[in-house]
Amino acid sequence: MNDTALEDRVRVMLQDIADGTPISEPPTIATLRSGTPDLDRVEFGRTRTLTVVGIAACLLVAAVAIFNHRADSTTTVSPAETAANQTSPIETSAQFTTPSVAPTPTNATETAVSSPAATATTITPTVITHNVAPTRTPTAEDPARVLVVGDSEAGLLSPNLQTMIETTGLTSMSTDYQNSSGLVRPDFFDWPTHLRQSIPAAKPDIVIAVFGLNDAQSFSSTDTQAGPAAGHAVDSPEWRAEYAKRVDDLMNYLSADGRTLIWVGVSNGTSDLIPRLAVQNDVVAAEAAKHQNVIFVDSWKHFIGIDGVSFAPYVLDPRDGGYKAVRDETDPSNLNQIGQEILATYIDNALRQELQHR
Amino acid sequence: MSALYDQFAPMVRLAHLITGSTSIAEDVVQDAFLRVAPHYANVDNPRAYLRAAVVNGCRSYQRRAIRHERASTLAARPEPIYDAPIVEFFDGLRALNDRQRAAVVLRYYLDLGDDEIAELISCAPATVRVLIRRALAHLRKVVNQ
Repeated sequence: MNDTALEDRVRVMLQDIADGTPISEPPTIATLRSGTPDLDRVEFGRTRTLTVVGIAACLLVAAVAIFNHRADSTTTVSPAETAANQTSPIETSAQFTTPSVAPTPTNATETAVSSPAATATTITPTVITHNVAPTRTPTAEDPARVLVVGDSEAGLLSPNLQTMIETTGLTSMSTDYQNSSGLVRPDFFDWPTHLRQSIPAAKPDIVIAVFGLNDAQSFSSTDTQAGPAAGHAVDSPEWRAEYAKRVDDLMNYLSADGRTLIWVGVSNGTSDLIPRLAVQNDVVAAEAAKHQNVIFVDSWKHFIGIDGVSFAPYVLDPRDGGYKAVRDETDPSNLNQIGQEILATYIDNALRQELQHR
Repeated sequence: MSALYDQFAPMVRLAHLITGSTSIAEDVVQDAFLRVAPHYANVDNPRAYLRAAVVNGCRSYQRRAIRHERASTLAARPEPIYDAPIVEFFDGLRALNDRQRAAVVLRYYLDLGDDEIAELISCAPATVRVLIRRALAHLRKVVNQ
């Protein structure tokens, strides 16, 4: 083996070893605050002073990041919302302020930093386009029927959302969710078929769809609907085209017959999932922009890092302007209670404007 | 801060290669996070700054572990299971001395040049070339087996 071949072999071996490295989650600021067990156990000259100084400096850095993020967060119109804004024949123009639902009190480990003048943040209004005027005006006696459908995220969101929207007195809400489901694996759960059976009976006025976290995967070779897209990677043109077709089909059906569809985008995930989920989110946002009667809640924008591409453990809570830990500690792909409440706040905002329109 | 967190996995992989242990690698990187976080937003090349902290941490850890024989006090984490040729290569890599192993990893995993490696492991660029040449001579035996 010559030197070049040996060097190539070493490169490959090192890469193989690195690829096999098990990665746990990075330390959270909360962990740093309390002192990590590992750091305490090693005792190689590390002191509590170092930990305290580190925490203080971390908080300072985070405060700067928050300041920047707050500046960015004043513009929160999604691509779909922007597109709707340009073509909307029926628009709501009133500035909408977050409802007066108090955030869950956060303890010391949940609130990373509160900005110096933390106050409720005004959410940019979602502009709604209807090609068919809603057929019913909801009242307390005859409330709008709201149906939440989707994956486990839908199940987790529902209680928080219900708490918020029931204060309107104009809605009755139900939820139909299936864990680990999505639009990529109809062999596991066939949502289009299921919804075409359940929607006529439920007769919802507003449908809230929560799909995507389980869709960052290739179409199965046994999926006869996938055709040539089967087996292609998530970022391939074939995958994009097939996924767009499925989203388009579902959006068409769920926004028909006077229904309004609120599609909740994915709130991204851990670093290894982000590139694939970004593709999924792009496809959905583009499809939402093509459809009337569809409101796209751009969760990605609200839960991604301040650089627009990185996983973010802490995000702005629009209810009080605080910057909070929003990830489940055991599975950071999922949102914790605070994260669910924040996401529900954005959905609630869209829902209330739809109710105003009706 | 999110940019710093995004570097966690790459840094653990790097530390794993240099230390040969996932437990030590995680400990070193967590420690580096503690040290680097206060300055991360203010340095010109934050990624290189974090990388230097991790490489230094690995080398310091190895020196201290030898002196104090304290590595065993770490919480044991499962080591990954590799195919036999990789296991043999990894054993060969671990058998190198600290500076040889760091130099090989920095050259062939991160594709760094002599000058950058020299700065990271505190030696002259010529020394880097010697370290890598000797390390490759040892690894050749393992790879050829």
